[in-house]
Amino acid sequence: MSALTKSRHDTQAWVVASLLLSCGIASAHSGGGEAGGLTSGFLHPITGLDHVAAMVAVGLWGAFLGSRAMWLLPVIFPMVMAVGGALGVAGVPIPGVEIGIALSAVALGAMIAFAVRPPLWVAGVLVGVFAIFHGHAHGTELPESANALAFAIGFVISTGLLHLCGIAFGLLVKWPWGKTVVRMGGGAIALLGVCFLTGVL
Amino acid sequence: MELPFLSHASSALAHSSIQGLDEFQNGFLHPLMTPVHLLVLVTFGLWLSRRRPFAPAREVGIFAASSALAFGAVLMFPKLEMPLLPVMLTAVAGASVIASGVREPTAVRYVGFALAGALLGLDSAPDFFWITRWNAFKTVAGSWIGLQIGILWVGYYSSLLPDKKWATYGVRIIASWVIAIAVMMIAFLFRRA
Repeated sequence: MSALTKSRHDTQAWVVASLLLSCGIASAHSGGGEAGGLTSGFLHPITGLDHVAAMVAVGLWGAFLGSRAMWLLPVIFPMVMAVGGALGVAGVPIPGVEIGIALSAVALGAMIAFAVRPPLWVAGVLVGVFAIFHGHAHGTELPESANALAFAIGFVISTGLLHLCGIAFGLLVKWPWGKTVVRMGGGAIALLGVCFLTGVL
Repeated sequence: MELPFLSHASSALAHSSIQGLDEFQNGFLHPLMTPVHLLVLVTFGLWLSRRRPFAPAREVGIFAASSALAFGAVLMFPKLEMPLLPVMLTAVAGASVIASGVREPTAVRYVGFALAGALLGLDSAPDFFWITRWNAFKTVAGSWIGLQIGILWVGYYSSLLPDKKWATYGVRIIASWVIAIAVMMIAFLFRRA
């Protein structure tokens, strides 16, 4: 290889390197605007394991308690969660939000694991109380740049889908072996909750 | 003091027009492209479908008449502006009726549909600064037709759901989602205010 060719290759390498280094950010994946709001709202409950555990537990417990609870709890949860979210958006402080979220996983998981069947209204109140903590966390963490409506639509839909995952899993209770599997699932959720509570996770 | 902020404000997304489309087409797409309007249309469409067999004539008639009156008002008084709060509260009220599963009195249903039509009509005012009166009329006519088709579309297709428990509960869950979204939006409006 002649010295001239080597020099040309060096120059090309420098040009390519400098072009790569000068690349701007990809606008297609920006977080602002309606699409960004929808995406960040949708991902918010999914990316937090504590939220996932509690919301799946709501569906799971509903399915465990029977047909009325299976549909009533997922109706109560988003409505009360929105009230918590509104408090978060408005900046109204609620003490111990993170503890409340962790406790929701512990309590709901334990209800399933120990096959507790309280009256429907008690289950509704319990789920509603925990929903306030989850909603408050969503409301407080609403990104300033995101479109509020799109964010709200995203996080409500993803919450609903997590409930549906729990319901789908909970439908296994039709079979005796399924009941054991569901109770074990509840135990796992309660254990996760203990890990959140103690700071292990 | 406010001037720099006002001049920096972007155009209202709820009333943006799509380049290259006729005013009528833009108006027609307006309710379908405006998330808040979609929320109300979904709510009242679901409400329509609760009556079995599906008989939407009276409710849609009231909705069409009140929205037509509102569009007339918008054309006569171009500076009329509709705050978002009443629209959101109407969505919450309608969705609460569905989510609770109560059998509402007929009068409540009629008032609800009249209110929804009027508020959506008032909230669909075209930007008179940019277009002529004739084009404004075309926009408004398109929006009016879009609203009627939107509510009938949601109502008709949700009425096709089987008369089973799971379908009823599914509709109630969607209504609870509407309430959650609207409550969050109301809170956000107050934070901005």
